[in-house]
Amino acid sequence: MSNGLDAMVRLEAVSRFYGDVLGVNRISLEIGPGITSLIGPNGSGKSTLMNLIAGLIQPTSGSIRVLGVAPRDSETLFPQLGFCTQYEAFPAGANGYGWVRQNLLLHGYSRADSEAMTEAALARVGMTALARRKLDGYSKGMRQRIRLAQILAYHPRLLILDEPLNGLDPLARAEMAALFRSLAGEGKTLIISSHILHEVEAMTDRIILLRHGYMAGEGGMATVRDSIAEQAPQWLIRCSRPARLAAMGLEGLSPEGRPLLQQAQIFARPEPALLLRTQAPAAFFQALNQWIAQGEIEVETITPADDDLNAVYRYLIGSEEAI
Amino acid sequence: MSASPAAGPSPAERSVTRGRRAWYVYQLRRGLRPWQAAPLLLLALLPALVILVLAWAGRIHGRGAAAFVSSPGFYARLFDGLLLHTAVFFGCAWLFLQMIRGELTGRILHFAWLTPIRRSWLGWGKYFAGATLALAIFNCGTLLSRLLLLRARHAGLDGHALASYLGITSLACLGYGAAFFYMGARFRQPLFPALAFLGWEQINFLLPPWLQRVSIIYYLHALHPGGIPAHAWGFVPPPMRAVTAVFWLFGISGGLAWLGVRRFARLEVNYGNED
Repeated sequence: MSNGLDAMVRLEAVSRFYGDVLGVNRISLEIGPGITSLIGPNGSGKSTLMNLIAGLIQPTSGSIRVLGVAPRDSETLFPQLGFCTQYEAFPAGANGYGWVRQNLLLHGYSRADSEAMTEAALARVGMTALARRKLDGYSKGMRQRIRLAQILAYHPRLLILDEPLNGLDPLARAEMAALFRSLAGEGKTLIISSHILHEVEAMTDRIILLRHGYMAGEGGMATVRDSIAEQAPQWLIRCSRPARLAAMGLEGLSPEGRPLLQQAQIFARPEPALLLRTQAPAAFFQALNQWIAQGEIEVETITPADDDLNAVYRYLIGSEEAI
Repeated sequence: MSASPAAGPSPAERSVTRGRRAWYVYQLRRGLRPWQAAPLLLLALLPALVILVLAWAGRIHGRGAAAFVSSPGFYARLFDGLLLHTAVFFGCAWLFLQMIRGELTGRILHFAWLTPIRRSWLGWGKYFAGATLALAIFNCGTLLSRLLLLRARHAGLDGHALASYLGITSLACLGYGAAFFYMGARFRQPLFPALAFLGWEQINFLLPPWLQRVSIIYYLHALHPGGIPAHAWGFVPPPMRAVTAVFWLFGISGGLAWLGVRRFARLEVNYGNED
């Protein structure tokens, strides 16, 4: 984000190494209210970045400020920060209700307040009926919910959620995504990591792409895509003669002398279509208008084929990780 | 003249205090879980069980066993060998090593780190909760064994000796607790340092007097009301005033606990599979 005044999280040249192994390297970023998604394959540094922000680990170099204080300033920071980590474990023998309530007691709430806030948080994540069961017997999805209830209970301004949709069924994912959007609507800052790209896409205001510990891109989806100058945008054109269109596009040149198309892929089914990449979209579409006017081809629809997060992700991270 | 604001802690300060108290109580409750507390109780009851068995044997088999229980150095040896060297030592190892290392291996330390309680307070809360449990359990063991002994001897209560033994037990809990608390915070595999420490404390009487001082048992021995019967071999240390021994025990305990808390506060959550 450009406006540093309302940055909830600020990292400056933060690096973290585990011995010789790189966790994250020279990450500088600011995160403000709304939902920011950390995207990257396993080992890209998402959890390391989250752990650094929450002070669970220390940076090897660089500085971190969260809500204006250092992450180690527990008494100031943690009434306002909630972190759902990726770690599955809970203390043996605890039940969901007791665990949420215990955390509120540790936050300094009275017993009566803790009980009321626990009930409210459990209701918000749909765990009221199951809360008295032992945590050991919970499914992965239930554990996710109870962890979420634990932090929602004390109304933090900043929520860090490491793979919060993991283990949830589709309906529960949709419910959680709606909950996250509602929290963002309340002015809270959410940092979410996920591999579930289309669901992140539906709720995120900003993405940060990580790869091998480096930031591969950041911003809104369009900003990230545009920032990769060498990556030509992709379009899907359903038309009468895709092979002819491909030939004309690959042979044609823009006024600057660049090829109109960098890549073209022809589809015969289910309907004739051409998937193309162009770094000169203005020149290409001007030429396309001429070809349509000359009756060379008939175009039914033109759709940007990469204007979703999955495509951006493939550009930057690698197609094998995309879902 | 306007009224001055009421003295006393602000709501935020009260909240911090409540949180710290809740942490201490939570640690106590964790220490009292059956699988955690049962070994401590068994260890604490060992001296009483030995006295009961000997008293029963004396009743069945005649004067030999009964005379053994009545011998002057019996309780001092029992207390030293079974309560200090065994029950308190291993009990504190069980309790305090798990306080930190158990949370790391159980992957739950991050829950503590994410509470609005200063890390040093988290550390001190753990140590004091462990010390409270150890003091309560092992002092009960000392009290029970002493009362059983007096009953077996048909003797009256010796308040001074009882208070001394309870005091020694308490100082042993603080000292060994601090040592194991530090090891739990310092070492990824604290078993080996703990075994080395066990050996050092066990062979203390074999060491030259200046080396004997680098231990906890040396100062505890100096507080025994009747003195510890000397070993046939080994060095006999020069006598030490009780107040000096207590001073050293508090100093060693406080120093080790402080080092443990400092180390604990710097621990990172690195369970090994961050991505």
